[in-house]
Amino acid sequence: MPRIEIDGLTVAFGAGEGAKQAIGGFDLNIADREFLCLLGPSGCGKSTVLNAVAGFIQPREGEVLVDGSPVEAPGPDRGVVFQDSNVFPWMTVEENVLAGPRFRNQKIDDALRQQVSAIIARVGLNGYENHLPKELSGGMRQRLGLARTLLNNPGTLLMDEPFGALDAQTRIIMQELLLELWERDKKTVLFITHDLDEALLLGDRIVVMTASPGKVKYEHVVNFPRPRTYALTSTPEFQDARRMLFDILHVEAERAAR
Amino acid sequence: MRKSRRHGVQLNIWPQYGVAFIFPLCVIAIWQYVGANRMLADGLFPSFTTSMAAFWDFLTGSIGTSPYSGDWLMHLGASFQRIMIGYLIGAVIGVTLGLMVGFYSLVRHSLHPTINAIRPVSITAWIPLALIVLGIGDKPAYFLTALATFFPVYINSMMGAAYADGGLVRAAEMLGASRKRILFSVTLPAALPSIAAGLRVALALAWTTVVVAEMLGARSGIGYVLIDSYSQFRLDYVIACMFTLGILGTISDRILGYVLGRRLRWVEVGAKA
Ligand SMILES: Nc1ncnc2c1ncn2[C@@H]1O[C@H](COP(=O)(O)OP(=O)(O)OP(=O)(O)O)[C@@H](O)[C@H]1O
Ligand SMILES: [Mg+2]
Repeated sequence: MPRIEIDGLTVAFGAGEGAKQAIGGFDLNIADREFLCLLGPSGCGKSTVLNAVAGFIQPREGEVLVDGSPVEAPGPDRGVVFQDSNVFPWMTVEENVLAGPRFRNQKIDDALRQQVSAIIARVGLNGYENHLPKELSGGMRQRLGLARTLLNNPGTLLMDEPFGALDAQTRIIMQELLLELWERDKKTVLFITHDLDEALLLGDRIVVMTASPGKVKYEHVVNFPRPRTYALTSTPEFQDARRMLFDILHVEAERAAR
Repeated sequence: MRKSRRHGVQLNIWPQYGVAFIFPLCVIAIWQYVGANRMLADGLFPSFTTSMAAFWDFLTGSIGTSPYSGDWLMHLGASFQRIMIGYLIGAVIGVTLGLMVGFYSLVRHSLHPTINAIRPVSITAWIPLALIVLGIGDKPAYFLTALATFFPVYINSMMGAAYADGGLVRAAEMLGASRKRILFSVTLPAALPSIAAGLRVALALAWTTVVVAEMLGARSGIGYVLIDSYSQFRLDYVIACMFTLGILGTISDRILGYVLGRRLRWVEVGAKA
């Protein structure tokens, strides 16, 4: 049984005449511990798919199953990493990481505190425990958002262009961090990106969507051996796959722009 | 080019503070001239020095020509107590209702239309009713001040809660927070900058209201001394009362601004006032 099953997902915004279909009849299965990258032209409905899996929005038709049961509401079993971090600006770094257990009224014991400092160290924010988000750079906030989600040890990670706003160098560092985290402790990941290199570097499988309202246009299984590092991106095999996917994506991007 | 730049720099050195005194000194000089020469209101308009002497007399009773000589602290205390109690009641109810109305749509649909319909009735229009129902004394002042405080605090809390960053709410939902938890741990802090603005606007309104309430429905307080001195043609005491109100309004606004500013240190952009 796949971890995530999306069947005929249809989401529309607004009602009646003015309703806009964001996604219509979208199907996708994600296996347990699979790293799936979702690509597609802007506005094709990638975030809508992710938001439906997260439980932020409800399907108008079709269904989204996680572990066989329909998604009804957001929950800590599906950790989300947002494009614009959404860390709580009034909480320090440490408080942000602890926000999940606090919100769930979990007891904060020494074991948990140790986990917190370990995760803060993993994402390279040690020394910043008592800083406020406004004192962090964009990349650091992104890492904080990741740490906050990782502390809950979610079975599924939903990532909506988490590194989209970062500069190229920071993005590579974040990608390698994510690779390292994932290869050590495999989780089911739905990762949205518009960056082909990122998708090929991280994913087990790449799904390309058509222009709005998006459907699955093409699937590509990524067979590069793991563990992977950024060095992979300069190999000829990588460049071949990249070129092929680029052409497919480009056709849809042009259709979306028309 | 270079010269004008130097000129700009020079301007920044001493006159930055010095310049602030020029305007009030001019005003005081004209005031003193007009008052001392009895040029306004058939000579009733007092000079600056007469007004300051009245203020000193109000404070210490050193001259003793007014029924209120030396009673400054007592009347100040009366006004202060009224504004504190009225403001606190209005602020607490305003924040609580505003947050609930902004957050829960059921509460919004059941309460907001009514509250919003009452809002356009100006505070002064409530005075006759308040005096008849609550009598002369502290109670109408509490009520009117609370009412004046309530509306701006309510509206700002409601807007702050209703327009709290949806991304932060989603983040909290994803972390497993209950609705109630989101209200207290996300919506409330997210609405805080807006609530703070409401609290500050409301404080100025509360001062206005307490003075009006005392003019019409009390036997003590700065507002009462002000209106009673007016009926005795003691304009020097009227100005002493105005002076008191100006100082207190400024000090209380500064204190509130400081307290709120400390709570809002996490806010990223914007100059702090
Ligand atoms: N809240 C909303 N109200 C109305 N329409 C919406 C809303 N959210 C999304 N849409 C529409 O749904 C469509 C899909 O949006 P979605 O955000 O899923 O696209 P996307 O693939 O994530 O795009 P991008 O790559 O630019 O983030 C878009 O055409 C958008 O206009
Ligand atoms: Mg998107």
